[in-house]
Amino acid sequence: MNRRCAVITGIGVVAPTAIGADDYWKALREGRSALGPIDREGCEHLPLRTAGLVRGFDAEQYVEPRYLVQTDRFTHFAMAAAELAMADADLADHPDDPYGVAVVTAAGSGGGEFGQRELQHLWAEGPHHVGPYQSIAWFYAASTGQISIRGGFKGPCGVVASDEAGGLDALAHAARAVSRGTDAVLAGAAEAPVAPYSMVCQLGYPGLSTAEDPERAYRPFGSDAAGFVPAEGGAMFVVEDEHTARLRGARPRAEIAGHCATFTGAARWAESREGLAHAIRGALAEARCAPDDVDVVFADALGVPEADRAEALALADALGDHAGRVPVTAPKAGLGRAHCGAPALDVAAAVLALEHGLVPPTPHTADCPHDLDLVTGHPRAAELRTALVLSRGLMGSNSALVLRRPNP
Amino acid sequence: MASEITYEELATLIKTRAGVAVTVDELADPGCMFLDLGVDSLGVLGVLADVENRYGVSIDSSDLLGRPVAEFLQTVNSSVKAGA
Repeated sequence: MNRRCAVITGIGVVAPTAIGADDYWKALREGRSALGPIDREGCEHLPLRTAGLVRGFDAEQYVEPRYLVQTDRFTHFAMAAAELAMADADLADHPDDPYGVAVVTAAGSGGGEFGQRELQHLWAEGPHHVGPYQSIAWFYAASTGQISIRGGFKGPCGVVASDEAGGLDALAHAARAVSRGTDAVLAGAAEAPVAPYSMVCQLGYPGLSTAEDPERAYRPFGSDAAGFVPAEGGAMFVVEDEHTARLRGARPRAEIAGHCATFTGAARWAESREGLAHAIRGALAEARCAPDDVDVVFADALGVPEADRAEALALADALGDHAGRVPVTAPKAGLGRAHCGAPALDVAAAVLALEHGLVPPTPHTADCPHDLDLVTGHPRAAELRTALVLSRGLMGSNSALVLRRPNP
Repeated sequence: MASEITYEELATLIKTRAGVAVTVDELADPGCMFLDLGVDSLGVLGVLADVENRYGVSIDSSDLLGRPVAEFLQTVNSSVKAGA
């Protein structure tokens, strides 16, 4: 019995609905939505009207000013989430063995707000007015780097650049680092893509919802689904070897039991059916989990009718009849899609759901024409042991992660 | 006309550009180095560029980390005076 097993021992959440795992769960349970108008300076004239914004976030509460001036908002979120996760797991920075702790994040958007500000200095005043931290702040790897530097974590660090599904792949990467001998990994993703430059970069996505009304902008799996809205925020986790965690008195909250990722090409939603089904089968096989043993599904839920259909069919392909019985939910309908941060927030929701025996509902969506038992309106009590979390990226990545309640 | 940069102004600059809070006494200590204050090389570059832009001077940036802060300020102020 010396196989190393990766477990989540700490959760840190920065979400549009709440900051911190406890408040996040409260909002999830109530099916609260944070979607609202984008009222940020420089964004008013853009056709994208609705998003899930993180409001009332005071970065200085979590991170020292010397890191804040060097970093973009997406890294502020990641560092704050990492700090919350470490506090939750009671994991200290500057560990005795710095090589025993690593950091893995995923990012798709990078530091758009910081980058835009410096590029504006470049064109308005000249190269000498571009601050030196531009060289690191807008880079998608910034969050891993800064969390590692700040905490003194010198283990096998990494950055996953695999599209939105990278938020799940980062956790799988962490689990693999643990199985190879690293004691603890800070893993997850956070993004801040709601600033003028980053928003303009997204306007070309065909699935983007330009609806004015936050009530109607993002209704995944609904008969009136009209695309998705972006969001900011994300989640970080402390992933540890179970035995090592228990020895130091930490509480395993969920086991990362299986993962699989596939690629089926950008915006080819019909093809994503096969890719996602393959990912589900692979993740279940790694977890030694039968399809019938999946107790809840946290869906990708893009909100584009063709993509929603493909996901429902992928579940049917991989789970058989069970796909029509297992509760499926998409809490991100009330958050928006924070790119790589979205599946990380789903993992946080899944772990909390497993702990509470409660499936949080899908906000906004009222009816579901697909052959799925979509949980809407109210949370549903259920005996939950195994959760399946799904994610797809707009560029074609599909990923599935299986989480399991740990043995007491 | 640009006047000399004071320790107070330098402290403000270090706070805005490098995010590090320092006191005038720390800066004025003849042995005080940027690295001792927790200002890294990119932070020093940011402070330097800001000084150069503001006062229209060009400062030799070699070995900035190896010289005391007080010496840096002296160099800056003699350049400012020479340019004035």
